Amino acid sequence: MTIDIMRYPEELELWIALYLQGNLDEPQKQKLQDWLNQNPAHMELLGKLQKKTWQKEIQQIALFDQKRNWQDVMKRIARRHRVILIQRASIAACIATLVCLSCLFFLPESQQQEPVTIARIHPHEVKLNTASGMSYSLDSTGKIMTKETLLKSNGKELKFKPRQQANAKVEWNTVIVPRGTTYKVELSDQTEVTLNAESVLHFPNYFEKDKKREIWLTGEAYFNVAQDTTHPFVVHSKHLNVKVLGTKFNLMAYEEADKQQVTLIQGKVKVENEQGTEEVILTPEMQASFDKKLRTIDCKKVNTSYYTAWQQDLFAFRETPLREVMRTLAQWYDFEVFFQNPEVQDFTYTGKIKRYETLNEVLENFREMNELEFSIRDKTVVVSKVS
Amino acid sequence: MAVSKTNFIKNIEEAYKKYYGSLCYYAQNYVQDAETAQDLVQDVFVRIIETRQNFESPLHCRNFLYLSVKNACLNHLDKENVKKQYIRQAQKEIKEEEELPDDEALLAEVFRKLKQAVDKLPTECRKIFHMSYFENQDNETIARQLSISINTVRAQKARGKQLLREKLKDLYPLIFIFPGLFQ
Repeated sequence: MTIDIMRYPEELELWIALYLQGNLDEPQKQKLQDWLNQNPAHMELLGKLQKKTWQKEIQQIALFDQKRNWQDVMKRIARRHRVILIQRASIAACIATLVCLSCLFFLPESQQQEPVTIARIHPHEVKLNTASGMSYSLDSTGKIMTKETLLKSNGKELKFKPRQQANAKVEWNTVIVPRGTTYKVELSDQTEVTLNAESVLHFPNYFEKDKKREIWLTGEAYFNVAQDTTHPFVVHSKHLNVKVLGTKFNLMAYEEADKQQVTLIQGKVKVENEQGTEEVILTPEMQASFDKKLRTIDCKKVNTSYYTAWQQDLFAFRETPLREVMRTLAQWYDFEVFFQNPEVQDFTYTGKIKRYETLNEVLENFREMNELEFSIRDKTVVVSKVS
Repeated sequence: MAVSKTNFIKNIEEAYKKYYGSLCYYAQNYVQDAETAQDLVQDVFVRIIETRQNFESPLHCRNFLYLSVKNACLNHLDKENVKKQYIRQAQKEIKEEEELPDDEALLAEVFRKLKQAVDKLPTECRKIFHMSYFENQDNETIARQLSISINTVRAQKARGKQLLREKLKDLYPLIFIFPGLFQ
């Protein structure tokens, strides 16, 4: 079909309205007739028109108008994220699962494709900053002697020893994990904190006796908290506080993410907002999600493997909007992203993908769905919709 | 043009009041189910608010609405795997929002304006108009029900038609650019 989009004359609607009522006068009839003769498509319009009785049609419109309620739209805006995600995810999920299966089983087929553009970054060093203003690199193995503590680092992990002397001074430390790597810290109470890329943990070398064990996190970490009922353990992030006894959970609290999420694997935690005005108690396999826009905490049951997969060198997405997907990838391949068609940011994806050496290999999985195109210029990935 | 957020939402709400019925009616050309049609139309408005879509003119807004509803319907059908090929084709042919997307949209607009004109008729006139044209009652029945003479019914119907014609002229102000149309 090669019919051009026809241009409707400005007065056409009126002619039709009058025609329907039999109210068209002679000059109007003539003009309408001329227009109809111009193009078979115009006659087609008249055919469609003659099949309808205008009284019936406007009654249908009236029926819809009776159900019109602006509040429906407002409610939808509050609810939308979930609804749309589920719709899209149902398609994406199947494809993503297939994609994942194919990645896992038919893996490194030697690909003769375009040269790699962005490879996994060689991470900058993981750093430990102490209260005394000293900064240490944690990449090398060996002993680190801070003012108060003797530490051991093997390049992947740093262990704080329990307090030896009762009067030893409490000193605050900050571990900074850059893009492209993870790092594990064992706190003095033997709580293990595995930090994801681009995360910062602020914690004391010793926890004071008779006080809560409190630490601060920006970014994402998996916690395996040592049980100690007399000293509740509290993780603070920008918007949420997580109070725990002995337990395992994941806290995702990146600054740029739309949401902050606490996913409980084992035990029990209480999650509250920063003002302490809203709180929820999680049981295993539950996730509390704080929406930064709506400022509400939502709870739901989840497949926790998606939220801890980063520790197994996987990217895992579950009804995740593309904007979040790209943010996660940027943490490992260090790039900026630009969305040519803003609406694609809301496409959601579900599935797990290996953390390949190169970004191209990861993006290949998305390309296969034939929805998106990625072009890479310097350190910027331009995402556009397949037209 | 910077519009405050409250005003922006107010404007969209206005457009919603004005076009909701005809957009749902239009959507039903693609999706038969009335519930689905309403869902899709509401989602279009959600999207407009979330993306803070700006409109250059009321006409731009109207055309954008019809086009968005059409796309939403086609996407919906696409999801249900109906006539996938046809739809992909159709989507590519849609140009910018410079005009209404198709005949059905044009008709929906005509019917919306007709309805608007009927709604604005004086009460008595509208009542008779409804009974006569929508409920298909004959003049005699109408006269009996309203306890008026048949002649009054006839007169009111004629007046209704005349008024409708006048109202339509208001609704299509452009018509005055073509003086030949109305003598």
